[in-house]
Amino acid sequence: MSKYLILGSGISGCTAGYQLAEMGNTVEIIEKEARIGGKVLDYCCKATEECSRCGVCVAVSQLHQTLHHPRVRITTGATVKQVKKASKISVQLDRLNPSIDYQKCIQCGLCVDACPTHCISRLDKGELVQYAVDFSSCLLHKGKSCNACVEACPAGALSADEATSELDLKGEAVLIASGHRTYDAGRKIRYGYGRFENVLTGAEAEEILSSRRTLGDGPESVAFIQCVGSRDPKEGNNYCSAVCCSYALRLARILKHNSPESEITIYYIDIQNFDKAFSSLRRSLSEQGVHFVRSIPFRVQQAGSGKLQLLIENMDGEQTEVEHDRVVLSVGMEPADGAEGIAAAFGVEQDSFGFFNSRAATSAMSSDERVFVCGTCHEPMSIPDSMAAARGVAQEIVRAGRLSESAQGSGTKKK
Amino acid sequence: MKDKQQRIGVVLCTCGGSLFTEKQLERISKGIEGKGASAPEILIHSNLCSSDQQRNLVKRIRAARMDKVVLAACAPVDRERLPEQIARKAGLSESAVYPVAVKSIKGKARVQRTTREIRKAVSAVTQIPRFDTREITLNRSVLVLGGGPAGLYTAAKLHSLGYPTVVLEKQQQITGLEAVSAYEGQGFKKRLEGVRLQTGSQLVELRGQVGRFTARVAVPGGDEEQVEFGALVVATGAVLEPSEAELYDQQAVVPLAELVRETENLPRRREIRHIAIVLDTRLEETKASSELALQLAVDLQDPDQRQIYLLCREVRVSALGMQGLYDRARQSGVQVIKYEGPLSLDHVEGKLKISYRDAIFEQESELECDLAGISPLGLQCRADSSLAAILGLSTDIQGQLQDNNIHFLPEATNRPGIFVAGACRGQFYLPQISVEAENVAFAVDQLLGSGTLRVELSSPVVDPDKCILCLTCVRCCPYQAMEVDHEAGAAASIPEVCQRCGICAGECPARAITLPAWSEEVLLGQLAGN
Repeated sequence: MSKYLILGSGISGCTAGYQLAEMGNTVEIIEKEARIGGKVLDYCCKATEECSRCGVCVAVSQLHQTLHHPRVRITTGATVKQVKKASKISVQLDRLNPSIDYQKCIQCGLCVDACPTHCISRLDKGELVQYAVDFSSCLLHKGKSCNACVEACPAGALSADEATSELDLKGEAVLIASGHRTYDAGRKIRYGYGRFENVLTGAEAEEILSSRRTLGDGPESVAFIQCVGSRDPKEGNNYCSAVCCSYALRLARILKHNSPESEITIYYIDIQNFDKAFSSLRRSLSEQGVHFVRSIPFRVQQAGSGKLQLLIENMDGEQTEVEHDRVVLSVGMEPADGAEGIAAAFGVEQDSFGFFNSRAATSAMSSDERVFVCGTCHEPMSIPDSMAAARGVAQEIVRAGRLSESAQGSGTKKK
Repeated sequence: MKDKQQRIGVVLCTCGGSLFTEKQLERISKGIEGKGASAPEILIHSNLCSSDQQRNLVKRIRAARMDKVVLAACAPVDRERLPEQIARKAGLSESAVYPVAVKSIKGKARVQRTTREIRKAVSAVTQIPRFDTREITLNRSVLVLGGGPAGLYTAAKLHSLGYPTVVLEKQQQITGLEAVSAYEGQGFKKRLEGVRLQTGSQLVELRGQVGRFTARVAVPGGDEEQVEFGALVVATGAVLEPSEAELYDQQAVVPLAELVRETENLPRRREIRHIAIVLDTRLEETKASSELALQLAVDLQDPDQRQIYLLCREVRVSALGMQGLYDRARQSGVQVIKYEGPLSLDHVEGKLKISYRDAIFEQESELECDLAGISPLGLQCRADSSLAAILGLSTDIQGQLQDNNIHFLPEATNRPGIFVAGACRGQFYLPQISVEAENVAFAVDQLLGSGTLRVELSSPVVDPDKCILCLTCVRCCPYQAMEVDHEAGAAASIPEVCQRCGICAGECPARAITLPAWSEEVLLGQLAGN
């Protein structure tokens, strides 16, 4: 059985890692943030009286299973310093301490209480429980010595001998699953994100709806503006982010269900088909009175009434103004921060948008046979699709490993 | 079967010392000892919420050779299905680890309550029979229905994993080879070497269960064959409703695929100057159709000779590169028209007139063309429903195979051992079909890889004296796990498929069915320990 390295502990990395581990391999997942799980942790369940098949719950379950798999180790707070390709792929990284061994952790939270600067916090999502360290507040990283959390832990799950540890991980192949960056809505200055209180992004709406039933108090008029930062040549993002129509329609469904007197309007170019039940969802939204308007407002401003005013131009150049209480910007996906660095370090090609290339349309292998890519670092995709793709990649990785083994066994040199 | 010699263990998790003090543990141990026929062995454990300690407990249970375990720990331990997991890893039957949730009440009350609950649990778990297991040898062959892209991708991947694979294709040709080779290269054919591709063949009946299916297959010449296999992959594609086919007029209105094939001949047909490509006629299509249509439009558009119109309700571009393709189509002069509401096609004076409501300009419009290609996926396009009935597979509201259940995605169905891929489940996009085929191959590997399936014989038991063969249980079982045992003259459960939900026991009008792990003796045993 082999050892594999995975860059990124989001849903794609964790699904692939779990699959590889189940097949008997050892997996090292390298995560740069202090928490595992990536963006999924900020998304909400989008059920009303019926599951909407967004996949968030299934994803969280998968993260939990991966975190506790005996053959998987996830290293958080890790930065890749150097990558060397010899008979194995070797990744040297710096790991910020304290670090937590989740095979030992009993979720007692004593470390949270013991920390003198309160830099450890517990993150709960479904059955996934983890402890994230804010390294900027940790005394170790201010040149002081502190062992409070290590001593408080009854299970010996914490280690903090030094501020930063150097690790050298080696594997037969590496899977890049480094995810994406959400488009910064502030770049669309005309939409007033950051200036107007009631303009928020789809991601923020999801965070709010994780713990509340509506975005505001009482019935409101909510406008969704689609394709913010996507299908946008001027921003350099001339592609569709694939998930914004699905999350906007599902969020619209929740809002309409929880507050039937609310007026919901979706401003769009084209509604993308995202799953088998898409047509019936669209139909039922229209029947419930959600308005679908086939124009994208070009500006959001404050009206005299205090509400938000959306300016729309029609095909004849005529302008109309529509007032809403709240505007949700359906922001898309972009390549992650640091994508160039990862591409350079691992020898992965990027396309014109910065997403990582794979060798063939139906392969996850990059131009290097031992480097694979999957998930949203490769192209925008939904949670269920990411998980299916990750399982597919795990198969490809194992198959490639078997091929190279037999090639070596027969004395043939690997190209 | 109740074995008086069974070893009962009681595991008390102290949670790292915070759940019980030493003295409390002593008192609980004393309270449990000496009650009931078998004196339980007591194991003190700690920190069961950590994976490490869970593995340790399994080791201890195995070392102590326990048959049944009462697990007293805090409530979250039960919530995570830990009892079943521990039972499985310790080689015990799933019902052999009986959870007791320690209530978070203080002091003496906690000790008394816990002691009482543990006594009840010990008494109950003693009554749970020790179940035999049966080892079912799994047939490693896989039968794939459908020689389209989904079927071929799956067959190739299964073959590479070493599973003898047969592909049954209803038509006379293997339809998917061209499409997949265009995507993967001509080398794809090689990956199918060793796979038996059987054309003109159709499954007519399926019997058996996961790992041991048999099917009757109609083959060319009117004969029938019998095939045996361990797993079934349904990749039969989408089928046009017969009434929709009437929409196609040989002369002027053709299926989109035919238009694609005709691309080479069209330059010779100079009288064809206006071609319409129509999507979404009755159903919303997917990006697969858009990609095909946009590429076709780009290929056909010729500013000197031919104007192409693409009519659709939405322009679907949710794959990298498709927005670029859309831009290229428009830049080359293709007219993309977004319409809403109904669309009609009429023959008027030798030309085709398409009437529609333009969604952008919000007005009724019409256009004249010489030829129209209609995408069949925009018409009533379902999976083969008679096949679904033969296989016992549920369909979704659009008539496609596989419930729209997030836990099934992408390859599972309501029947263990039967998987689904491709257009018959609503997936039309080739790169994603390839991904789903990988998922199917992995699922089959998980199922058949070990070669045997170990089944615990703890599924519902039917009393033949009471059973009147009314078939209520057979009808209401959601998993198709009840069948008729003609020799016994009674219904019988199929242990490898049964999910122990208990619906059969609840619905049986003759009260003839019991779940052995939850029999009356077990429930009475709980009360006896009180």
